[in-house]
Amino acid sequence: MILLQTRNVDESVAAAIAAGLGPGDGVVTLFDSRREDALDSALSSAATFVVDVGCDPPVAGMVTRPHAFVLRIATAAAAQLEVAEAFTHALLARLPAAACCRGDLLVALQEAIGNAVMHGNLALDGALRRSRECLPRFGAAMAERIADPHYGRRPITISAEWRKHRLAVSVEDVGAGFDPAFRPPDCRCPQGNGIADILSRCEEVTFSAGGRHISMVFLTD
Amino acid sequence: MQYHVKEGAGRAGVALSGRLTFSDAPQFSKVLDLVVSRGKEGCDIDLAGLDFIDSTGMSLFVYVYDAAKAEALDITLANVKGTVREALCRAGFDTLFPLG
Repeated sequence: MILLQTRNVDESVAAAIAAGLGPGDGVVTLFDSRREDALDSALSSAATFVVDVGCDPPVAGMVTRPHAFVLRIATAAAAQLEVAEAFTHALLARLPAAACCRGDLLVALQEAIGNAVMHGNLALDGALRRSRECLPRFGAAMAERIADPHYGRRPITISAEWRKHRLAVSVEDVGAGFDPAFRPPDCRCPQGNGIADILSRCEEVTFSAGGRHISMVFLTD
Repeated sequence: MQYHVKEGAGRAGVALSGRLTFSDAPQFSKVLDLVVSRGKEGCDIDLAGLDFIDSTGMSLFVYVYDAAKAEALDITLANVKGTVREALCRAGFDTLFPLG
């Protein structure tokens, strides 16, 4: 059975989302990322699935599992809130044994969320970051797309699942995907070092769904 | 990320504080112009108040490095501490700038 909780969400919105929930077990908390401190409050609940009602769609494909914790958040919110920090904090409250990998987890998650936001759901042209002259256009395009509901409401799903000493954290967007094998030729160019940093901080990293899904494995105590 | 110009005797300075991440990318161009405009006289980018940096945040310093090299500007990174220092060293920025 699924238990639904809300945090300052309009009843009509909550009812519409509840109607879309499939079968399963767990606690689902709905929150509105436009309200101050809503993310931290929702993550501090006992939920296994925390959903931002600003996502479109909010609960499609939702699967609740034991030993799992999921946050689905709108791209506009993920671009403006400290999501990696908040998710890591909430995850450690649920899985204290992961404290030993907190630093690597936080950095890897930050990089994965940044990729999901900028190159995934906002579909920003990475070529605009390759020179100083193009930088104002990149910044303007990013601000415009965050404000555009077509891009800003796209969901980013962050999941953690654990078993014994193995913690798998994944980030998934709904963008066009990318080729995970691609590496910029110059390691000092202004983009491309995020994936290298992720690889150096995880036990295993796998990409799927055409590059839209990254799974990062850490070893816990 | 917040930024402000440090005025006073001696070298000019631009102080960055908070978290420097992908969320700040729309501000990079303004910060870069500010640093470059002061670089001809010598400019320290003061990172004492910076708590966290990701790879997109670090890319700001690649633009700074490229501008300094192209225009012979005197720009340094000052008060680089803690996790920010570790991240910059890990990414090899200590070979681009002396990290003060």
